[in-house]
Amino acid sequence: MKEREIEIEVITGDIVRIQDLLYTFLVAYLCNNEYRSWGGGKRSVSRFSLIKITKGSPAISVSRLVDNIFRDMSPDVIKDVLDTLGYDVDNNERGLRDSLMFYFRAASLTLPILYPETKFLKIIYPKSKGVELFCEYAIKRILAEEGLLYE
Amino acid sequence: MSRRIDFFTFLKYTGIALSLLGLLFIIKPSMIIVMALGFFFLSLYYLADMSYTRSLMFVTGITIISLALYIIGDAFHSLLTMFLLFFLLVINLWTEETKTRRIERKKR
Repeated sequence: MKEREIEIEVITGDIVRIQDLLYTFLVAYLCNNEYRSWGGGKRSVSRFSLIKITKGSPAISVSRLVDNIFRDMSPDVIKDVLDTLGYDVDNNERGLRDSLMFYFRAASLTLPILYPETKFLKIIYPKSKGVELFCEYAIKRILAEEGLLYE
Repeated sequence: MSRRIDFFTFLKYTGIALSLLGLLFIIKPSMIIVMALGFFFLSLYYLADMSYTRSLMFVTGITIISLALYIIGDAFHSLLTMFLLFFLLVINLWTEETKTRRIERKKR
């Protein structure tokens, strides 16, 4: 077991498509303050940080997301999640990583259709503003899904 | 250890190979389109990888190649390069959704 497990069901409710899973991980990594703790001192990039700060601008990519997922979760858990979604994946870690990367890259193309707020991640400058907007709408969506958002 | 090549990895390596091949032919202007094709593949790869800044960088590269071809008088290849830009635009628009604009308007 890896030292850190992400309780993915808790974040967005039901995950039935690969896009839901990608969105869940994006929310988990981008909107969690712990993961965004890049400030302070020489250690500007946290060990669990998805967002790598380069000259004040965060860089996001599916490759980096998958690297972080494999750092935080055990391959068995990832395999179980993909099996649940109906994807047939390899048993070895390299094959699993390649499969997850392929599915996420394919899913990222249609992600803004299902979750329009992911479009904010396309903002070129300043990217941190885009992440902020993305999180704002993502949190609203989660609250609305749970019936906790009142206009 | 052998590694399985999927569609996106194929895009990446083909893009790199074509870009380098185009660099070899830099003295022959009409062959620069090979480099533009390489940039097209790389732009698609980075679009799927959610590295939107890099994707845009390659789009800019194609635009520069297209303009350069037009300036040196090779209008035919410049037009072909513009088609690549057009395809990228279509793909980018396809991955967008007008609902986002509606959300923004509602917020205002």
